[in-house]
Amino acid sequence: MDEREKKLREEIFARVEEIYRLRFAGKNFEPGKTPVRYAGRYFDQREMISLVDSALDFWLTAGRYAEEFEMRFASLFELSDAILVNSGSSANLVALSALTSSRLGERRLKPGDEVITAASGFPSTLGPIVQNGLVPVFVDVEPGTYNVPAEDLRAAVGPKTRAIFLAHTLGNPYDLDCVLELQKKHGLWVIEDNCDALGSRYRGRLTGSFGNISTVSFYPAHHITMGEGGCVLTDDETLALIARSFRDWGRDCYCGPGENNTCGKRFTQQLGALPQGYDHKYVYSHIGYNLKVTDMQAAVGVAQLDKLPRFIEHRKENFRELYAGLKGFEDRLILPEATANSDPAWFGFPISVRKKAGFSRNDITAFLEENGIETRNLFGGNLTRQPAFLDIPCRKVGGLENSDFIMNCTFFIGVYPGIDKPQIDYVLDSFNKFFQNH
Amino acid sequence: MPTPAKLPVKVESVIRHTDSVKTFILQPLKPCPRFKPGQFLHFALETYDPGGFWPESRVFSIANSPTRRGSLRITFAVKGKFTRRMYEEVKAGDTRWVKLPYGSFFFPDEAPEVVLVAGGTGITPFLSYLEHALDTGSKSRISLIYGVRSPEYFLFGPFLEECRRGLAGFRSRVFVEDGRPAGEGIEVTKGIISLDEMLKRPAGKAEALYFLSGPLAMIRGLRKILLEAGIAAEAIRVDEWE
Repeated sequence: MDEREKKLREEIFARVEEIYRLRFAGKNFEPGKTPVRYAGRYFDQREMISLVDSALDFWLTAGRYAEEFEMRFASLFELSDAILVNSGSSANLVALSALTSSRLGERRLKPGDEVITAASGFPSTLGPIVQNGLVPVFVDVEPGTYNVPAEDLRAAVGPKTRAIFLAHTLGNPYDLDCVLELQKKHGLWVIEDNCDALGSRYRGRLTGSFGNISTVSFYPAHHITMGEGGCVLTDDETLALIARSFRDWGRDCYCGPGENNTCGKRFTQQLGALPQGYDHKYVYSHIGYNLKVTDMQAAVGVAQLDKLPRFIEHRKENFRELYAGLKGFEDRLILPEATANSDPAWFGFPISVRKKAGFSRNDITAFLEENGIETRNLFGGNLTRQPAFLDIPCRKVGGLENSDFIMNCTFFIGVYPGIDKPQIDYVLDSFNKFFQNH
Repeated sequence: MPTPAKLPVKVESVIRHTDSVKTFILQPLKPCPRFKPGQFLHFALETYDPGGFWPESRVFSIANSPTRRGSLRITFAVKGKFTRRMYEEVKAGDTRWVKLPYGSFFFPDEAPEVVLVAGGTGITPFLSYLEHALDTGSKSRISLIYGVRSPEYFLFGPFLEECRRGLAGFRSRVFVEDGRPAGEGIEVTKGIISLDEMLKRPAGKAEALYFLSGPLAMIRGLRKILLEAGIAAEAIRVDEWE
């Protein structure tokens, strides 16, 4: 880039900052008028400038920002590979599909193999299992942690079980000691759905760094955002190569956008039943997708990544404030509980209404929503009751009563960094008002 | 394959071996990603604008161990216009661009026996592996069979001596096509690489892993010989280039 262009860009960035200040900065919270979101993008001029910088490159597809993000993200987790994709759901699809690759030989997942997963959660953990012809084994979760208890996990392993694919629910790590014990004992694959848990730790280590492969989401509701975006993480270079293939149309070639002959063997290989020297760019070793990220998304991600430690602390602080403020209502509400040995970077603040509380989940969420406080159910509730999954081949461990309870009685509110002290005070004040009449 | 990265490097030094072979020692100016012995990098002559296309580049095996990532080493022979420009234009102090790591010519962490067969500058991925073996105290039995056209192409004598001293299971055999001595104390066999002696051994043959790196014709010829000798295809790994 020459000096003239650098100068022009600086001028544009200064204007972008002005627009940020005009449009977004310094908005004061007005109780009852300003919504208290359950989550949302939290940014300043730096994300906007980074985005514009990328737009001015007009590279569009994954480029320098994607490369920088992948390098830094892999390093954050102390893993070899971070593979950006266009959403957390795509990350789940890529991660699970990677385990079906013929490159893994006998270890690969084959149709009919069982994958243990939670009955309660978000459908994109479950979807890839079904989409790959695998059989989900639904295990119940416990209110409070909203994760699968260790004894239920152990009971779920059967002769056909080959993998465990669980999400750290709302940022709360599941019992990784148990999962890793089962992995070792039964030779299982472990896929960590870390989409809601970026920054959470288990025994001091970041979740997402324990499984064979893991996933992260950068949807605006998540700990950092790219708008749309996600990432697959692994320390297994074979899995990384396969994951990139599934992300990039299933191709064997691993050239980045705009690159040629990265492998140095573009016209000398013989693969499948193709003729010798068939252009490696058009050799497909998997039935894949196109799930790549754009560099504009990655540019926002790079700016957000700088702020991640602060965002995590903010979430934890909001969580602590809410917990302290709601502790007095524990006779009617089940408050969230961190899994043993964990330090969650909470995605939200989950609350369950006890059976004999004298009011329903919908009573309290309606009240909060009326007062401008956004609430969300714990995603899909008992997923086995969702229309899409009613008739899928599956195995259920027990009656999944807790998942039904969560479907009916659980919701969560926000802890994201866009929520400040006045908003927390307003939320707690609203709960107090609700309980004055209940 | 670790997430590849593009990074500027400072050319620390240029070592001229022959009229057509040089080694570059490159100092990364940004953090160097992890790589494995046997992997390669792309070297570009032109400046890379991170917002644009990667310039024309060629691939070279990384010739140093990943345990020594403070600098990167490549050795190349002039084979066309690009490598001719590399030979003639690149000087110590230059800033150039590389991207790495790539490739899946991987070595086992530990194996009962590893046989490395190198022709000419094809030895470079093995240098990374051997340096890594030295740094990690590998207990593997490692045999290096190294063939060169003439003594001036026998480039890494002192390093191979270091391997002999530092790796209990290391042995090497050198073939020089014209039969001239390759250096003091180096036993040389005249002619092109032969695996006859290796394959005649009564024990160990079945459990050895064979790694072939060098000119295409050499690789294909030796691979055929190994297969005909009953070595399983999956025990033969090749580093083959265009």
